Amino acid sequence: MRELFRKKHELWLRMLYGAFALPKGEEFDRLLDFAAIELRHLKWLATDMVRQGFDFDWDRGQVPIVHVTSHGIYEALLESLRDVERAYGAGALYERMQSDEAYMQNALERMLQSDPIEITAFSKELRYENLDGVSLQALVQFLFEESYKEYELIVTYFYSAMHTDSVRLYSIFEDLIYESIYHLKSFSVLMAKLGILTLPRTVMKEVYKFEDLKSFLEKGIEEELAAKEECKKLATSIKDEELSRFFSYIDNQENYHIELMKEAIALLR
Amino acid sequence: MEQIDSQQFQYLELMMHPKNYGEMQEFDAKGYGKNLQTGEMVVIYLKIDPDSQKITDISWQTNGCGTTLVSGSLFSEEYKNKTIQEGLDFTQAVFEKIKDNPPPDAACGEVVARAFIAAVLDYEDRKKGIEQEHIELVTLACPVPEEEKK
Repeated sequence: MRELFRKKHELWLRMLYGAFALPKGEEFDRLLDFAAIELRHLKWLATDMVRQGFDFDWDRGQVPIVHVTSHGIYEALLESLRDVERAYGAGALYERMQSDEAYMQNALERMLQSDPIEITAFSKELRYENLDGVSLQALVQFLFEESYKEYELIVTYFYSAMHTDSVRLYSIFEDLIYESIYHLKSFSVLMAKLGILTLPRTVMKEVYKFEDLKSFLEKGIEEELAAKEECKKLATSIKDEELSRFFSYIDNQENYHIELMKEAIALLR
Repeated sequence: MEQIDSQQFQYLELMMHPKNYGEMQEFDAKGYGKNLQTGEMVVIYLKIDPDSQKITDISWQTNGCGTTLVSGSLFSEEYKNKTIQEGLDFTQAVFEKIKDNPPPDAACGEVVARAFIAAVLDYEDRKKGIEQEHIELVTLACPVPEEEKK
């Protein structure tokens, strides 16, 4: 089960970053939907594992995401889906997952019939209209650090949600996961536009298998406040109206993350 | 117009593909560097040849920022194939070099170097049959809170 969880984790990332690498459109939406389904699979799988007394982790092997055309992405996804298929055992949950993935395989095979799209998300173009070198450097630094941070938060809240008996805490973690997925998507799309789309590095076990949830959340609030400051700085320094508005929006979103985390801390008292 | 210079591009490469990054399953030493002010943490794993005392392999992980990623990549390359003593000498040189840097930048380099020291202490303990977690705190760049010293 642990091996299956790892393979599904890798598949989820491939699906997610396959979407991020594509230009926005029908195929981008489709891969993003499939990634959302894979994340739910991970949740059900983890629930089952914890219920049976097993633990899970976020270790993963190599997950190559760099491709030059959309067809490369689809072919790699098909290979990954086949690899996961071989790892399933018998059981109703696995049958449901296989049914979802049979549909995904069929959809990807049909997507391979369309004309390939050139992928520029990994070109390291590093150009953004209206941005000078200093603003661009600040933006790149922010995107790298925050995209990792969002991935770290997703896996950490996911792990916490799977290990709590409190319905309210579970719901708070779920809200925070969805928020982080949205942020990860927003930052990754910007990274793809700059040609620097990169998979976040593996998260250390020590980060998500923490002993003290309260202090993790308290530290998390401090990090949200620091991220707010970074967003404010970028919003004022970046000479691009659309980006500036985007960072003000992200800055304000951090406010309700902080409120959710405060509520979680209160529940722990 | 070039928007990013070549050194920044090199750092970008290291952030995208940090060198020697990851968990090591079978190691001879493991140590943590921690920054209590920021929550930043680095873990270093070492494989050491018992005869030559040479570091034959190294890997590391962090929850830290871009500067820590760059430091970890560069330092881990330096530590590789050095003896433990040469590694400690390099670490001392790092401390000398970073002590005049602005605190946030200095802390990012120091946390990696502290993890190396912790791994060396772990190696020494393991040779005596003692297995315990080794954590070295960032002190040059950030003062250690009083309650943590106790």
